[in-house]
Amino acid sequence: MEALMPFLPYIFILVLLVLYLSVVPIMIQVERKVSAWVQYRIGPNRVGPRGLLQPIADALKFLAKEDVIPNHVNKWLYIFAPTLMVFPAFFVFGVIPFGAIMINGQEILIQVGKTNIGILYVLAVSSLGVYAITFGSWASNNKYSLIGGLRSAAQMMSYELPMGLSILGMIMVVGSLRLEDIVRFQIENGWGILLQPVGALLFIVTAFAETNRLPFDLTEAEAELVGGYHTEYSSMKFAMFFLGEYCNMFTASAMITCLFLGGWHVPFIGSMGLDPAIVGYIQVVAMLMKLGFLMFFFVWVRWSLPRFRYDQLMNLGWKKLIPLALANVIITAIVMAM
Amino acid sequence: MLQQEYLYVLIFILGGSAMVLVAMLASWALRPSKPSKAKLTPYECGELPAQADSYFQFNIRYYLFALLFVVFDVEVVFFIPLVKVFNSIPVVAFIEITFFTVVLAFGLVYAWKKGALEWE
Amino acid sequence: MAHALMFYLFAALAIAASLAVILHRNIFKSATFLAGMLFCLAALFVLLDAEFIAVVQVLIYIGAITILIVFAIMLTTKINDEHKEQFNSQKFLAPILALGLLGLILTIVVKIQWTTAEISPVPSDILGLIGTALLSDFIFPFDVVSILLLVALIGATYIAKQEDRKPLVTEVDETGEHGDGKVKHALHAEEVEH
Repeated sequence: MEALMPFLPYIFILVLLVLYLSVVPIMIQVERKVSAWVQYRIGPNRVGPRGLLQPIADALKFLAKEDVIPNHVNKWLYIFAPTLMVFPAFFVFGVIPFGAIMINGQEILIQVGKTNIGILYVLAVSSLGVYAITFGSWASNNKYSLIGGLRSAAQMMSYELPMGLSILGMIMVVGSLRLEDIVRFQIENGWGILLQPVGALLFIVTAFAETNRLPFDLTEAEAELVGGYHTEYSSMKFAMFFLGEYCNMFTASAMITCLFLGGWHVPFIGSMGLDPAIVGYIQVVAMLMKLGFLMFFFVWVRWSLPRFRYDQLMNLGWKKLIPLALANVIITAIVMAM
Repeated sequence: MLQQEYLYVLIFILGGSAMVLVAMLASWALRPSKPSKAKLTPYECGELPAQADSYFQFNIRYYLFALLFVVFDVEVVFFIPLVKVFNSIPVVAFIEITFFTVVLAFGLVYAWKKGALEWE
Repeated sequence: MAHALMFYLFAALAIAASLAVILHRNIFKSATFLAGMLFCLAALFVLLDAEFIAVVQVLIYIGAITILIVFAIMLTTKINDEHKEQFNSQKFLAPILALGLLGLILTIVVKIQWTTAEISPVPSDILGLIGTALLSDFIFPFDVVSILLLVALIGATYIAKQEDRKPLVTEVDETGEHGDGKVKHALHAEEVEH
């Protein structure tokens, strides 16, 4: 065990990469099954026991499909854009803490990189997500794609502001931007959703908008834009956009968990008198369960709420969420100063 | 070491991009390729496109929101060091945050009243 | 060693990307290279332990300003044409000014006595120090900045409303080939937005 210590970061990198890439097939299956349950149908049940091998079939299908690169596209950007889609998610995922385990009586965070400016870093790199969509839509040289891409970019920008403002309250309460500090603060003082209910609500709403999920999926809006920014994409490149969407959902869930749901914390586990080593592992599992619930929540909301109209979306962002977030900052400051 | 931490993140991202690359290459090696004239035209709901390029004038409003966004984004960045030190110097920080927010809110109200936030 | 290697890697990438910005004939791709160049600069800031500046670089320059440029390109018709004339009437004046600026920078670089300074390690709570400084020594500049941002906001709003008052600009192709089609498409685009 002692000899392993210098290699721990690399082990974490490997484990988290595997975790990250196994999330996507699981999510595809969950999305299809939950959609089926919500709509009172059976869902995939032919491939493997209870349809569990369906994601593998999907992946094989994506691999073997013809990749049509139309004549009118801007080729290099067209190929580059889908790969770019997963990058912001990887950047964010690199700083998420997944729990603290005890090794040789030493507490070790399961985290790839421990930056001092955690949340700000996350905000910055997630703002890069706009690029994949604008590049993809522009390179496609298709009217549906372009409208979808522009809509998406304007939407992501408009919701980035309330997202940035919504976490200010939490930073003010904790006094640190490091994600692990925020989680530790919540372990001692209660979960963020209780300390900052308005901030939590704003963050969750904006997270839905940033990941382009229903009710904010105007970029794809099948009914009006065919497929939005990925209209001209097929085969693996199309799959990359999907992969990116699920990766973004996963990172958004991780951020919600770390900021407002206590990270890896399990309530009352400290008073149970368990061995600290075991508690560490239980809490890692708890973190994954919280993530799982939030991913399920994403799918649940998708089938429960109708899509916004574009003017409603912009109004909600600029005229409701931003003033609300500003008010939240002021009220938090007043409460803290008292 | 700080840079060490970023190096780990970089390695993580390189690992991730290697996987993406493998997926793309595998698809490139496996997929069939049978292009035809109809497949290679822009997708337009069954009609032939009126012109080859689709770069035409879009609603200018998108740009205006981007313009407002840049200003607000700078304000958010200024907020962050302020709220970070709120606990250590509460009184000054409180006055400054209130001042900053009020000024920002004034700008927002101005844009609102002038109708720049309307998406017609 | 590894540090120097990373520095040269990102510096070379930054120079290559900025050359691509000015040399590429497609203006949209120039904008994408601009984003890449700014990202390399952010990496250089990280190598200097200035992570706050690096992150602000990504958040403001790549996440906001370059996107604004990309929007401007996407919203302008006939700007992406690679066969378009790359120069305008200032093509004789511009190189003179650019060379003058280069000369100025080179003079400064040559004239300054460069010394190697011992740099104390950057404190880990850099953001807290920035915040404290903003609230003590720089409190007045900070207030001025907030007013400045308000002015920028009002200016942006003014431009926004001014653009609104103008009728939809429909740039007619000089050859007159797609002129009519374009007007129709522009109107169509308007309808789609609504």
